[in-house]
Amino acid sequence: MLRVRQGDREAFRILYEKYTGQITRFAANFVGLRSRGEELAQEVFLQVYRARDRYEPRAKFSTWLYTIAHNLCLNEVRRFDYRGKVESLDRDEEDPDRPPRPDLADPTALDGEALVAGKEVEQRIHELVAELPESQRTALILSRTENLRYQEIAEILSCSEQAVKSLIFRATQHLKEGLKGYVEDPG
Amino acid sequence: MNCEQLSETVVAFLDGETPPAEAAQIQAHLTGCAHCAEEIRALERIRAWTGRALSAPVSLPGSTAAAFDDLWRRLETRASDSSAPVALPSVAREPSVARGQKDTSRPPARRRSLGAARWRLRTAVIAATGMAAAAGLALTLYSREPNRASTISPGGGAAGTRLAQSEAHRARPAVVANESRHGRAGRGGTELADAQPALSEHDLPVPDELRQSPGLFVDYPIVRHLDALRHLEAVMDEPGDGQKSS
Repeated sequence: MLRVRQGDREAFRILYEKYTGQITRFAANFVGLRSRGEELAQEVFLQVYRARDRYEPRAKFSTWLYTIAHNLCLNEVRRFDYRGKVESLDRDEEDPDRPPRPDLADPTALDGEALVAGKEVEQRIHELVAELPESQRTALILSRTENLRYQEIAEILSCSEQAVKSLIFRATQHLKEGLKGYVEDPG
Repeated sequence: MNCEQLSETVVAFLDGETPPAEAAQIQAHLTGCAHCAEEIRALERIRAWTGRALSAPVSLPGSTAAAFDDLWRRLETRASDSSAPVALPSVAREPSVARGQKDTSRPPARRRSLGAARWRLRTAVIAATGMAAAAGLALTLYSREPNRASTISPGGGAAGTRLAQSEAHRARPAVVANESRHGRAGRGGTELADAQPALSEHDLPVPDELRQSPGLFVDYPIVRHLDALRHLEAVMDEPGDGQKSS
């Protein structure tokens, strides 16, 4: 990032290639639309480059990056109404015949019924995540997809670790409530 | 630790975010409580499903290299075209620009649009104050005509006389401006005439700095008042003016 501050294109390219997948996924999960997530990720990196002078080396780069991504996503969902437009990130619009991923509940279960159930659960999770308040959504996505520690999520959201603990707890409760029909212990 | 306490902290426990002592208490509780053990299994499943559903890889359109080239082109285009609209995000915890320090972080187009907005606002304020001063002066001059002054004030005849007598002490701009600033100019010429003896040039001298460098003070509304008043008085003094010819 220090090289990027000097306007080094190659350094910026390395950063872009390293983080663009994560940021695209975060944005797509946040707004619930993969296509918009890709555009938002590009916007995030535009902002990163423009704001490169303001990056302080003592801050972890990924924290700074997710902070920008979180704010851009907030702006985005406040400008447009994304409710009811949630799509599974796994769905490939260009290739509808592509075989679906294995069942979420049991990766070894490959029969058709389990696969359909897995897709259903996945779609339901995306819908439930879209229903979450924005801070809960960000905290949950960052914790579940990027495995960020509560402390780092707290820095991104400008809140305390205790607040992050509460956000993730409430988000999980919401998912638990929405997945009641799927979550019974098979054992 | 009881079941209620455990339910509040069990998600953090699954995330490995509980201190060791607390984690040991949870473990101890789980060994003896079937209900909580069942609860934690359900939460573990939800946690795993959520992670997998949200972690689905997102394929980028085209190659990453092509996407980066496109991004770089956009950066270069925006850098060279300062008039292009630039969306500024509300980046959290960005250091604010210190007072008096130029904000070079804003793109030029943004700075220019702010400058234009400020200029428009300043122009509007100056125009508004100038119009207010002109209106006050117009009312004052209107009431100066003896026959009209009498219709304005019950004692208009005497007031008109006083105004005529004080023609030699024509309303000095500073006085009128001062009156208009205090919202009194519109009340008619009588009050102005009464006030004149007390407000001579000695009472309200024009500062030397203003005389020497009027350009430095153009942004102050009082200077606009003075300009407007001087202009109006010059118009009134022109030969052929109705007041003069009568």
